[in-house]
Amino acid sequence: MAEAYQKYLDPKVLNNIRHLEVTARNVVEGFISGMHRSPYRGFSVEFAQHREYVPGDDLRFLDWKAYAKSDKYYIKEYEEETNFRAVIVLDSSESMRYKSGENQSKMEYGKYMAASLAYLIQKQSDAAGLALFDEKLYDWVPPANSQVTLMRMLATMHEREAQKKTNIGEVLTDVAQRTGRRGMVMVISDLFDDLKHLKKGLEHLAARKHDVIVFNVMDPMEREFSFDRLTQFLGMEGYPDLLVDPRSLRKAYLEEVNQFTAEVRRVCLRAKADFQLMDTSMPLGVALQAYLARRTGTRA
Amino acid sequence: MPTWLIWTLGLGVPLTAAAVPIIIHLINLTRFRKVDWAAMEFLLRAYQKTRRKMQLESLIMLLLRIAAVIMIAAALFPMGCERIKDWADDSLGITRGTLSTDSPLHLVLVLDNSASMAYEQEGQTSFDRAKQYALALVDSLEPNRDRVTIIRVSDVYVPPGIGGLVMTDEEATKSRRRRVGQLTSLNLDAARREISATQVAAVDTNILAAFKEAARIAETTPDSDAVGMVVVSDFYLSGWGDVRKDASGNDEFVEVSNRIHERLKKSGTALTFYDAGFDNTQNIAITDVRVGERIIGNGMEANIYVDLEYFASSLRAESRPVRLKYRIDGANEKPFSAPIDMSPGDRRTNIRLTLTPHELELKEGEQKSGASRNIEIFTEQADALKTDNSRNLVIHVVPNIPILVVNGSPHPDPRKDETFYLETALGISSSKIEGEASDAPAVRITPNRVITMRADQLSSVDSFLDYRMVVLANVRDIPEGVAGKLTEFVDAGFGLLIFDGDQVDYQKYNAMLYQDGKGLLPAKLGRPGGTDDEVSAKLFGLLPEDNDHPVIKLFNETPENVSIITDPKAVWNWRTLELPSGAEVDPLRPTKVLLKINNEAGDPFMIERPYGRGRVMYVTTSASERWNGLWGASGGLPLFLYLEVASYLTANEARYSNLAVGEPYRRVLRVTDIAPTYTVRDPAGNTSELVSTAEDNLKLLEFGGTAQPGVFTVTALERAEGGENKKKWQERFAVNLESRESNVIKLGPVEQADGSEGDTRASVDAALKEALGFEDFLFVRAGDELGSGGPLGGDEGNREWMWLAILGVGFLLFETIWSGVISKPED
Repeated sequence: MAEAYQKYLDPKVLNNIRHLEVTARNVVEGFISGMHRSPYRGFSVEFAQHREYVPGDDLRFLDWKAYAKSDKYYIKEYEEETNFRAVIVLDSSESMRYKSGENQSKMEYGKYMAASLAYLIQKQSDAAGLALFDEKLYDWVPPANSQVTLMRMLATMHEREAQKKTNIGEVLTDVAQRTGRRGMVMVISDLFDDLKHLKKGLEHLAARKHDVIVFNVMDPMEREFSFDRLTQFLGMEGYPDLLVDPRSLRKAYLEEVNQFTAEVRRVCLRAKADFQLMDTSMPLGVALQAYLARRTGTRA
Repeated sequence: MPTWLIWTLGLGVPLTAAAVPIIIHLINLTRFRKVDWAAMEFLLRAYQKTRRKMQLESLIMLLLRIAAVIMIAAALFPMGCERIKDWADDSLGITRGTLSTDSPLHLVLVLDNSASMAYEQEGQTSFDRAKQYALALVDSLEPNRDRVTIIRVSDVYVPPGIGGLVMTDEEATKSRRRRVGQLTSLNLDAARREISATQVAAVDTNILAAFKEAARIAETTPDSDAVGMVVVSDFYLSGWGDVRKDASGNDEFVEVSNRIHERLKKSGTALTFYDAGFDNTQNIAITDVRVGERIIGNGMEANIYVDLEYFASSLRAESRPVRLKYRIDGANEKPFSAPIDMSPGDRRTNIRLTLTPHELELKEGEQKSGASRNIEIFTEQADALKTDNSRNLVIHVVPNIPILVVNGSPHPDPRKDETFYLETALGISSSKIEGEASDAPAVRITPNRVITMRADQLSSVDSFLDYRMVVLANVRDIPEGVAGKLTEFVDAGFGLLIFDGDQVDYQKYNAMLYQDGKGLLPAKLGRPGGTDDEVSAKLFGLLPEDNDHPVIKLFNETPENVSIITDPKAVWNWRTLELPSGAEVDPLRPTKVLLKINNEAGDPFMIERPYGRGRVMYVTTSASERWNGLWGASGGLPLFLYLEVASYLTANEARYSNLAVGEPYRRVLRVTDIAPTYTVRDPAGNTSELVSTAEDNLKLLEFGGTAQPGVFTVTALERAEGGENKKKWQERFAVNLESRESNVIKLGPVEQADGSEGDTRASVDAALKEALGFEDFLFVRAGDELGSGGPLGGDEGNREWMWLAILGVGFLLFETIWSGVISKPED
């Protein structure tokens, strides 16, 4: 667990995004302590459990009564520390396994991105949850603002290898059903699926008033297609293999990719979701910082 | 090279070359990397859109690769392809398919090793190329089955046994013509050894003799064997001009060639010519060097005359300045002439070098027997054919030449004495006129030392061999013993000059010296044909009959000289002659009329006949003014004429001082010359022993091994006290290349002017067709594939092809790197 923690919470990454706010484009329901604007201001939170204090815990949550009784420090954990719930939906289908050169695979990159976002969200006392999927949603970590949840998210991601096909439409519908209250859904995926499915899923989320951000993760090679000699492309997710001279195919391929990206952007726009294309060669922190700064600007 | 290998290479190499691009293409298809690919849907859609275009590109790439390989093969490896093809098909001219599998092949290889084959261009001689080709031919044969006969067209004739055969001039000349060496029925290893060992022979080409030998060998080969014939030569006019259509030897050449042709046809092979020579040849040659004086006496000047000629295949070749130099006996070189501007086709004759008496003067120890001087004449700068850039000349400087004058009619009054004028003329010794003031030292004109005796003293002479020439002037008759001694004297190589006169008993002369054509006299003497009345006598001029004769030549050089001969002379009496006829005629030693009297009958004035190794000349009038007034009123004719005659007749020894390659050296040994041991050292420094031979009581030294140009030294050794050998006498002789080998202009058809521009290959081919009379022979030329005028269209064409080849190589390189063929596949 410690290994997973250290692996996915890169101090550099976290340092870069520490002072940024995760802002929602729309007003979310519930109570938000801190800077979040919420229609549910002053709404109480339910006590969940005690745990021993560890250095770094916010002293505001020390249970002084328990200290008086047992002479030990306990932190009071609550079922919900905030009324902002964010679910990170991470694609773990086989296509996310692809990587080129020294770059991370899309899956690895997505895991980093998810961990960083989760930490940031929890750091701001919001609840973060995780949904891992391929053909279907097979791992679900309910949103919560607790160390335990974060650890569980990280552990879940760590154990998961990319496999099987993508079925993003059904998964997003499932996620929409599981997240009862209005919140934020962040989709991290290469989106290599039928865009009708994506459209359907986003529409379900939009219907539930979720604020949706779609991170379209791609490898640089997938965007540039700069192969220089005869190559046999081994199809993932059930696609056939293809032996071809990539140089003669590059132009047509890039047209297809650009067309796909434009279509995704259009689908997101219609579903009132934000769309961000992410490149696994880009430093993760820089990418998130740029995105969040833009979001903040939009909010202002 | 075995035939199967030739065929394998001939077919395999082109096929392999053509397969290269296909192999590259297949390699490209197998050597690819594998990549797991996520965005497969986009890729498949892109592929569907571009599939047709990609297939077209792939096809174009394959075609470009094939084109590139073909270009490279055509431009860079034509030698391989063409020559393999030539070897297999053309050059050898043997279609093995027409032969039964086990038919042995007898290859007759005519190999030109004449001097012109030493022509060098870019570090390679024609003969290097000829040998390479000949060895390749032999390699193409089957060991233990096929055999080779090598006919070398330019072997030097060496008489069997050093110093062995004694030959007359005619026999020697005949033997020199037959300069064809043959090595019959060699196995392949022996043939390779012989080809490798063959050297350029420094003599000219004898194509006709080679073809005769080839015909004989081909016709004596059993019918069960196949015969192939390949002629490897440079096809320069120097040798092949002899058999060209317009040459006198062509009829015989056609007859012999057709015999060969018929025999080859039976074998299913074709007569093949391989041209190993070069185009664009240029050669400036010293074609001749000679000395004006036949024999040089101590204190005389010597005039050396040099002929220079510029042979060039193109008359547009650049002009060149040529500077001649000389050195005497290996001493420091001296300039001979100012630079002479030579243009292609130029021929400069008689470029004179006068050697002073001081340069030739006999040294201490040479005063008694004389000495030889080696004069080397050479051009300052060497050119492509080095062998004719220098020539050697050996001059014998003698203290004097003893001439015996026998006076048949002495008289106290010099003007009535039979030999007074003659003795004065022959013995004239200085160009300085007595009494004339001059600071210049007297220069000796003749080397002659005249000894006179009366006719009645003849019988007391033991031997005439101490003299170089004997003059009989108006001698009544010849005693029997004297006739024998004179015969021996002439036979040994010396000269006899006979003047007629009123004392001569012509019948005794005929009996003793004519002997029905077998004796010394060149003709049968008759009665006097003129008159004794000098006052009423008509004046007759003389007419030269043989303008090229050494004695007459002087009188043809200028109009003034001609007039000396032809102006009317005071000759009032002369002997009529009956020239030999019928059985009396010796075809090898015919009598020649050199000068005749310009009267109605055309009576002879001076005749000559070779006898043995010497010569006899007869003048039909008197040496004195008894029958003529020549001494007093004929422009100095007797002085010049009789000096020329004496020079001619006494120079017999000197004839063997300067020889052509292959011409035998010979020397008559006088009693005082005889020694126990004789040696000869060739120009390379190799010394061998000579054995003297005896013939008709004459001791002779002969040496036929004059196979290379340069200076040879003959030494007679005698036993000294203590048993060691001591030099008794020594003399040198020079051997020079025959001048016609310097002509390096290619053979062309009769209608084509020599040195005209054009396709050399076509020119030689056409000339051979014209000369042979049939056309189904094969003509292959070295360097066709790379040189000018080849199948690629000459230099310009080759350059274009070369550029294409470079482009082809560049394309293949780029394409190969681009397609990643040279890198490893990646998983």
